[in-house]
Amino acid sequence: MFAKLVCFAALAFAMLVCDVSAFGQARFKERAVYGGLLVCIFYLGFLFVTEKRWPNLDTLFNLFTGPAKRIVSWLNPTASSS
Amino acid sequence: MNKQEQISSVQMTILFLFYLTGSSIVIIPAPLTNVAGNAAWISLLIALILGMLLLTGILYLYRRFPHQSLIEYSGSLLGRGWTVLLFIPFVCVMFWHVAGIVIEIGAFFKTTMLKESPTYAVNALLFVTIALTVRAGIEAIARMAPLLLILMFGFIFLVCVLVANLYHVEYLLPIVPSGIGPIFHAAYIAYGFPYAELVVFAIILPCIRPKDAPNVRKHLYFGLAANGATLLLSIICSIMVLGPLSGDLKYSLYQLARLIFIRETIERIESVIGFSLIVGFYFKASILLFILVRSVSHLLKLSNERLIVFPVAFVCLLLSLTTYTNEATLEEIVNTTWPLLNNVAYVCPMLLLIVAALLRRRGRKMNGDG
Repeated sequence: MFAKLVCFAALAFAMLVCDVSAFGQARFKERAVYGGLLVCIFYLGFLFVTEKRWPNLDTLFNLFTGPAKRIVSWLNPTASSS
Repeated sequence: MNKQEQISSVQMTILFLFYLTGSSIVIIPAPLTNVAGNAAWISLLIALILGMLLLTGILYLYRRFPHQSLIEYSGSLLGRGWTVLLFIPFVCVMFWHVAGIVIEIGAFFKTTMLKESPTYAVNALLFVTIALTVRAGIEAIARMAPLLLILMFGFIFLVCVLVANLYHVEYLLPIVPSGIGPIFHAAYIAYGFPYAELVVFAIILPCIRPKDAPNVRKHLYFGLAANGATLLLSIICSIMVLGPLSGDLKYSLYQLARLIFIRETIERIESVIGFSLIVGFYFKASILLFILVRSVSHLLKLSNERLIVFPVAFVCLLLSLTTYTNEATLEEIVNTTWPLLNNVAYVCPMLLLIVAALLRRRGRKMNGDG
């Protein structure tokens, strides 16, 4: 966990240092989008460091697994029986 | 990385070829032969034909709107509200798409070369490289591509030539071992990865120099055909060397490279070949990250897309570390869910735009006649 935290913090620090001057000159809209992305980064970073199984993009994608399996078994009936 | 950046149609074709072949050359032979056995090449041909149809679709839209990306002309065809509604899933799926490629690179490294290294260290280094590449812009990416393309394709052909002494042509028979169902199933997999993914290229087609626009059609068809031929070669070579095992061993091309043994002088060259295959993954991820940043920028109408490269890459990195972390679920999404997800998020908006463009054209003609 500590190694993950260090990795995340180092990358976040490097990113913020690289972007700080451009952020200062950016318009409100760009700053808002950047802020929104930062919120996502901190949420996902928290999931990464703590290994929590909280909602993520895969939770949404898994909703498609059932219909996709039905398509596969329609295309290849032997796939569902094997 | 700015709006004025333009590349030639040959450079765009090289990027297109890299994008389609980059990761699929390593990954696709195994699931196809696993499902369809010796008929995997037939499945690939079916998927390739579907890919040709999709390419025809994006080229039709490009001909109608040569100076606008998919999102920009969606705004003029469907209005802002529908565009936002259609392209939010498009962008969300693309976020994971970039992450998915890096998950695959991480898995490839983990199983073949860097077995003890933590996945997050490998993925983080890759993402830093990819993000820096995207910050350099599409012109820099396009200038860098030809040499690396030659390197990657050169090594693919080299592997196929050097394992020629292990070919067993009889392994290709019977051609259809388990009926037509598995062929369609494997075609579904190959359609989802990589052919349905080519729709996202509609975002960067306006980067082609206007004077090169007339050539883009034949160049991109050639790129798609070259990709099909290369994947076909790699599938047929894996079947001829590995036989029934080709479906069970992941990263077929790498497995073939491991078998190269010529008079104790050329052996254990799989790492060299492995790194040239990594180049394909890296390029695909770079091109896709560029497309993602541009999509976000067009969707939200941002004036400075360079600013969001690092945070977008960071989100993708964290998605690669927090989603589908075990191999079984990753395999399920790639082989089962991804083709459907691709269709819903990428192909459906494109088809809707084609219908809208055709209706508008018909309406204008009727108004003109009236």
